[in-house]
Parts: sequence; structure tokens; C-alpha cells
Amino acid sequence: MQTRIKPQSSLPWVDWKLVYQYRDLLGLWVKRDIASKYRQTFLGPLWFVFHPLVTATVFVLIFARGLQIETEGVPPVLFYLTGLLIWNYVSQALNSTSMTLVSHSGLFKKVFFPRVILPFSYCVSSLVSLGIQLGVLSCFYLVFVGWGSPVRPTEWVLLFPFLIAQTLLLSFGLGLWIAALTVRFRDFHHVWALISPLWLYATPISYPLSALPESWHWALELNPLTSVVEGLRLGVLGTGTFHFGAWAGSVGITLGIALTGLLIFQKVERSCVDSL
Amino acid sequence: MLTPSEQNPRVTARSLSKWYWTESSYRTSLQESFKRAWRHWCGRSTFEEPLPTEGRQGPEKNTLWAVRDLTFEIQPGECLGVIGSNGAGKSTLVRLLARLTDPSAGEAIVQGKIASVLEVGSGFHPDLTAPENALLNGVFLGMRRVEVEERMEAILNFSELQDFKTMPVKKLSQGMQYRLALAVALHANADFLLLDEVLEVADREFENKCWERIQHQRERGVSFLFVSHNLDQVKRFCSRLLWMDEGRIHLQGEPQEVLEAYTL
Repeated sequence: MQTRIKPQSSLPWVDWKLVYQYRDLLGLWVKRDIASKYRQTFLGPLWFVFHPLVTATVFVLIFARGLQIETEGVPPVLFYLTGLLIWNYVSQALNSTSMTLVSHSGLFKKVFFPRVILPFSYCVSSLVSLGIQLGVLSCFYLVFVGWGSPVRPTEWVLLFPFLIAQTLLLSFGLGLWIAALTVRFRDFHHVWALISPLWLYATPISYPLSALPESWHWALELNPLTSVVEGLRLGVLGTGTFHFGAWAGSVGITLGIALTGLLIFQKVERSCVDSL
Repeated sequence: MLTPSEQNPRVTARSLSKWYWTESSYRTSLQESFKRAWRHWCGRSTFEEPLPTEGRQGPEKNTLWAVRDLTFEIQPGECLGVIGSNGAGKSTLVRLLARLTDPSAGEAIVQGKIASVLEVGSGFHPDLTAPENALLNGVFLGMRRVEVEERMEAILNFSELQDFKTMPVKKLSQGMQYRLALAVALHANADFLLLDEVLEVADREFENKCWERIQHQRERGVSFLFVSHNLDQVKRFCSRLLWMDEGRIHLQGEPQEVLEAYTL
């Protein structure tokens, strides 16, 4: 094995061979992240049960009861919990991924490893809370079905793993973008704090896409999460505005964000060590 | 037994150089780079006035050579000591060879795996136990998980933490954490190990242990780069010395003669 240490190329790309050599770091960092989140917190993972429940309750009160937004005949709690499954994952993964370069600057100055593994492992470890929330959703689901609610999963539920994989990739790519921009411009996280809630309202979490006029749909489908959320609902609850054309577009946008995110992260990661 | 490829130098550095912006803020450098782009676009020269080539002034305004034109070799099994006053560029050299930052010019070729310790206990998590942290640390040093697990007994013995292996490291003393970190590094499956001022706090007994371990590794062809301000330690550990001054190599050679010149 030979290593060449030479000036940075203008467009550094990920050294996949090196990432492969360091592949064990992924699992260990996921474990470390989970341990640091739960050790010594009394309620531990229970927080991930409360959080969606509280949000869903608020949504039920405001959107379903207050504003009387139709949830396509699905019990509102199930409707919101399904959408929040995706949203909570995205916001949690972005939270830790986007701070990678800033919060681990000490480590980056002293220890060499392929940096890109850290943000990716945050996206993986956030799957834990997604799993917990999926458990909460399943409990409610069974209760509602037991009470005679007509919701049933459809064959679209087979898309579930792909939709989750897409959400992971999207969070990863976006997290890399934010991480890189936050290092260059420290005030970028204020910008993100502004964009993030806007993004929530531009995603059919608290309302179904079908509640909006059809002529608006294309605009919302530019948001890659729209197809993910609607597709998930179609599979789990049997209602949703989902077609393959829109989904293909959303997958395309996701891949674009992930690839450009890798590029900019790689570029910034090499040069930021000198200025952190 | 040395294979033919092992007879190549472990490290070959050719005119390795690095300059930094002297302005502390990155934004200034961003501004600076916009200005440069603008000037370039207007067809004017990037350099407004000829810059002195002497001293540490870098290639542009507000830049400084941290290290310049470092050319040297490290043979397999050699332990190269780097000495020099503060700000001489020792740490920059280590950071370049550890791949933490890229050189501005020149290159270095390293045969085999590189591992580096610039700070003891980087990446330790206070809530994880000694073996868990050793695992993470070993993987940071470029080992596979199983490789660290195979060495775990040896690491815990070396650091004398056998009886404390179920405790989170935050309950261990500084000295214990230090021994653990160093034990992992000295058991790393690397061909070239960089140690930046990490052996200085070792007590006599642990230093002896490290010395034995390093000798053992060197016999197997592992090369070391050793930065220290403790000249006794340098004399004891190193087979060759490199004296840096103002970012350049001032003198390199046998420890005895370099130290004599250095302490003069």
C-alpha cells in the first residue's frame, strides 16, 4: 500500500477505497452516538415515543378539529403519525449531520479518517428513533383497526424500505450541504433555522396533497419529501396522491442533492481543517 | 525478513511545503480569494509587488510558510526525531504526514499504512468503557475491528487496565486514559507511526515499556516519527534527528551530532 501526500486537487472526490478500509468505523460511531444519547438519560428512548405523540396531538387539535382539514377519511392520529415518521427522522438526522464539521472540529484536527463516514453514521443512528416511532404507529394502528376503522395497508407498502432509503439519502445529502455551508458561513445555521419550518409546511405532513388544488401539485412535488410521504401513506393507510412519474422526479432530486452534497463536503472538509 | 518493496524508504518527502493564511478568519480568506479572482479576471497580476523570497513570507499577501522545502527520507525501522523551537513547523510537518491537511507544494510518498497520535485520547467517549474506547481508537488508527479485538488483551495488559475494563473511562484517572491511548497506538497495525509530543508525560516506568515496544516494532520494519521537546527522550528513542528552524530543515543526521549543534 502506498500513500501519496500531495497538494489538493481542485475537485476532490470521495476516496471510496479508504472509506471501505474504515468501514468498521460506521458501526462503532453509530453505537457511540446511541450510547451518548441514552446512557444516563432516565427515560432514554421513551423521548422518541412522547415527541411524535405530542406533535400528533397538537396537529389533531389544530388541523383536524380546529381547521377541519379533511384527512382523506383516515383517523387523524394515524394520518399525522405516518407523516411525522418521515419528518421527525429528517429533522433529527439533519440536526446531527449538519453540525458534524463544527462540533467535531477538535477530532478533525487531530485524527485522520474519511470524514464522510461521520455524517452517514448519524443518518444511520437516527433510524433507531424511526424504528421506535414505527412501533408507536403500529400500536395505534392495531387499536384503530380493532375498533373497526376501515384503514388497511395496500400493496404499495412494499415501497416502504425504498422510501426510507430515499429519505436517508436525502437527509445525508442535505446534511452534507448544511455542514459545509455552516463551516464556511457560521451564520448559515440561522438561515437553516428559517428554512426548516417552511419546508415542514411545504410537505404534506399536516394535510393531504389532495386537499390542495391540482394545479399546485407540481410545485409541491418538486419537494422530494412529498412523494415519500404520500407514497408511505398510500402503502400504510391506503390513501395518498402518488404516481411513479412524480416519485422518479423526487428520486432524481434526491440523488442530485446527495451527489452535490458529497462534492461540496469533500471540498470544504479538506480545507476547513486549517481554519476551524 | 525484508521484502524488496520494504527496502524502499518508508517515507520520501520531496520539497514538502505548506503555507497558511495569517488572517485568522476564514471569511477574510474567502474575501481575499474573491479579490484574487477579480484581479485575475481583470487581467492584472495576482502579485501586486514582488514578495521577498527570504524569511517566512508566503507566496501571497497575508500568507506565511509554515514549512518549506522539506526533503528527507525515513527508512523502514527507523525512528526519526524532530526537534526545534516552538513555531518551527514541527506540528505542521506531522499534520501533513498524518494527512490531516494537504501540502501547498511538494509531495511525500509513504509505503504502508500510516497511523498518527497528535493528542492523547482524541475521540474517547467518557461514558464508554476502556475496551470500547480502545476499539474506537484502534479503528481511528486504521485497524479493522477484528484486528483491535485480537490485540485487546495485549492493549489492556500494556496499559495495566485489566482490572478496570468495565468502568467508563471518565472514572479512570488521566494517567490511565493516557496509558490506554498510547497502548492502542503502539499496538496499531501500521507501518509508519507519528507521535507528536505524546510521550513526554509518561513516567519512567511507562516510558521504558513504550521504549521496549517501539524497539520491537522497529525490528519488524515499522518506522516512527517522533516529535518531542524532551531531549533525553529524543536521544533515547531516535536513530536519526531532524532539526527544524523557521519552517525549514536546519540540520539532519546522527542524534549525537545534531543534539550537540542544537544545544550549543
